[in-house]
Amino acid sequence: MPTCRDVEPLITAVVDDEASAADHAVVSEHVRECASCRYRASREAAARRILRERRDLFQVDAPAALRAKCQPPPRSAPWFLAVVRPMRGWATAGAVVVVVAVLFYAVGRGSTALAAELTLDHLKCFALFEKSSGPGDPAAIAERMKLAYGWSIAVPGNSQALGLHLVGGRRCFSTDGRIAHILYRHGGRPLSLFIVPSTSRAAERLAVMGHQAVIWSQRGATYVVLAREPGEQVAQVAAYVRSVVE
Amino acid sequence: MTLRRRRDAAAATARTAAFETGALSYLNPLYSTALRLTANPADAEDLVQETYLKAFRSAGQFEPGTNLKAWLFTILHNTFLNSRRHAGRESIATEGDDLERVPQPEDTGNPEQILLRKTLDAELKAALDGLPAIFREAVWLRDVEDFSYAEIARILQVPIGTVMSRISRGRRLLHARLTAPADIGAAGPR
Repeated sequence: MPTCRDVEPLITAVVDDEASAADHAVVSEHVRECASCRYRASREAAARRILRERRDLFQVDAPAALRAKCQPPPRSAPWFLAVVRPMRGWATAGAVVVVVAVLFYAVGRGSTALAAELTLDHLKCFALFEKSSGPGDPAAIAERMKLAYGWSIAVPGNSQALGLHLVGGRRCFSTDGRIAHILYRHGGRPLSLFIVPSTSRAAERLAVMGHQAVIWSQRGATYVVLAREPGEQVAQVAAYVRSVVE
Repeated sequence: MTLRRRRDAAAATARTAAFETGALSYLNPLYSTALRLTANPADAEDLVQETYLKAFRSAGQFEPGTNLKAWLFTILHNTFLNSRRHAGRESIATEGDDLERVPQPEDTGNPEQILLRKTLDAELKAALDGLPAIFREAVWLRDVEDFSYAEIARILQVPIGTVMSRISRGRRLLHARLTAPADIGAAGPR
């Protein structure tokens, strides 16, 4: 005669109508005699029924912005047009220059190539994702990067002296998703801080596609401050970031 | 290009388009599940976005004719688990029996009648959200997303027996929370 211990592992499959005929018979006979197992089966069946009847309660429509972000890259076009197409409305000749330049620089992955890719991401993110990258809280952004991706990064906050205002932070998906992108407004103009964890590069200042980039490594990460501004202004922000990270 | 190669290329493009359209049709259930996993809309969005990034990159690994939804959910769960591991946050719910303290059955009406009388939508949501994560995931995948035991086992990367055990515990805990919440003072952490 099957015991409760024998029957208990079979109850879920019976409740789900997944049990074999033999197991179904064993459970049915046992619960006729055993109030405890009968109650156990009833509880499972009741919970199952209530969840299935109320399934729609748990379904949430994804936000429209998320749907846009999850679209696949165009199949027939080169990868960089996935960025150029959304930018069509606001950057025409500039976008063409960016595309050509990226083609030229993307052959290698030296600092110039990296700065070129990041310039593209800088343009894309400010065009498409500035509003959804917030809130501009340095601790919250750092916490999110840590929890989601395991990155321990220091996120500099606002600087009134520099006219620097933190907008938000997100993952940089256009560079294999291994870079944190922190968005700022510097005197009202877009400025990006990219942080590449666990890397090291020689310090450099570059001019790429009309933008100035300052690159350095510090405390086990590489930092890139990038904006379409005079080099000295970008360098001032870079110095501020250095002081915060230190 | 020869006529045959043009036809092959067109067929490949059509297959890819069908894959992408199919994958995106599961955005809402993926997002709903991501919300339950992360309990945070911003994190849920990032999780879903990363899931699709990985899915489109590894589209060639998907076997046509198999369950695309289950494949996507597997990526979602793996991505979530990896992010938790990086953050040093392993699941702290146990499989032991100490989580369940349910009164013995009484002759005051059958459990289903009690449940249906007492359940309100907000309570149901709170009860499900309050389950320990490992039980909530199993019950969610079975009773909300309607995956089979085998599919759930692949998604969660545990044996089928463990899936069934977690579904059983999860459902009974859910019932207990809905019918006698005062008795479940410590039904396990999230």
